[in-house]
Amino acid sequence: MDFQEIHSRFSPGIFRLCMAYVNDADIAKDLTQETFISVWQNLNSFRNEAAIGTWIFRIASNKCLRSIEKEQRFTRSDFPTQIVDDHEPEKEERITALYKNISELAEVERIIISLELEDVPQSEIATIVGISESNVRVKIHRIKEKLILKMKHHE
Amino acid sequence: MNEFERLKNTWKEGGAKPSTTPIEVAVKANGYRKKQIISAVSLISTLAVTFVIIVLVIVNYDAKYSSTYWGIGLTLLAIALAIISQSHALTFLTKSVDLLSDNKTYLTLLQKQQRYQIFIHSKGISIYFILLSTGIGLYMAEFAMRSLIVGVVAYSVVGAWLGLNWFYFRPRIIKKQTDKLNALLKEVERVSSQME
Repeated sequence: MDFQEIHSRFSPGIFRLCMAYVNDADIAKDLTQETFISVWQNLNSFRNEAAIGTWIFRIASNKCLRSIEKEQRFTRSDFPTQIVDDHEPEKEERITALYKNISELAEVERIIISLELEDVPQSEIATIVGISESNVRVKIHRIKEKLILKMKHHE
Repeated sequence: MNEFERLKNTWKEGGAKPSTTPIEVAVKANGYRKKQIISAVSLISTLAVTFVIIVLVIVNYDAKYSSTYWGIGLTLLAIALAIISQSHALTFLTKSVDLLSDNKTYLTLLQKQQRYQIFIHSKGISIYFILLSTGIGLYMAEFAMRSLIVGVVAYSVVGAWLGLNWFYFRPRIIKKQTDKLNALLKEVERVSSQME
């Protein structure tokens, strides 16, 4: 798989992960771009020891965690704009609410639930985050409950 | 369809088109690497050139007092320590391999890096300053002793300048740098604790 293919296949998912983490479209785009810069720089060191998606999500989630350093410079906006390609107000509102609610969770929870929503297998989430699979399972169960409750409050 | 599946569908509807093309990413990536290498090389080479010039001075100058050699030795030691710490710090900055670690390991590495930076910005600066001041003080002795008036004036001026740096600038620089780093370290520790 060449870089162009990797970029077009994974950039929407990486953007969603970053967006749910920071809830700011501009910062999420920057983080997505930084992720692919690192992917490009490290592509030679990728040795198929993990699925390429797992490898890229690991880089992206570390970039998100590193954004702690940048958070002090940015003001988080509650209502990000232009997060969907087509303009359907209802759909956009639902997605906005989802990103907002995820971004209010604890940092590690944001990463875990975003990966779960991206359909990343739980065994791979465990290798991305660096915790045991059983711990991932327990955490996902709790985060799902928390998120569903938050979404209900929103409605 | 359960509620989480509905959320999953909403999730998949999100995601704007990437604002950059793969070619733009590649160009930027190469640009960043170049910038990092230039910055690393220029900083370390400036210190290295200073080191070499001082060595040339000591080789070509026949000092009468051993204090002059001690002074130069301490100054060289201060510069050598600065070169080592800068190289170490730049390795942290330029190395992107840590990004390939899992989140837990990455946060541990981030904490290690921040603790190192806190050490450099607090104790490191003080050690560098003590070595450099003592070195300059000893180096000056040979020239200052040639005349009492010149000696008193030279030591007073240099002493005042060093004192101003030690008592006024140094604590402020240390506070400014370490306050920011300590706040970041606390944040990273807080996120790390979520792994348990």
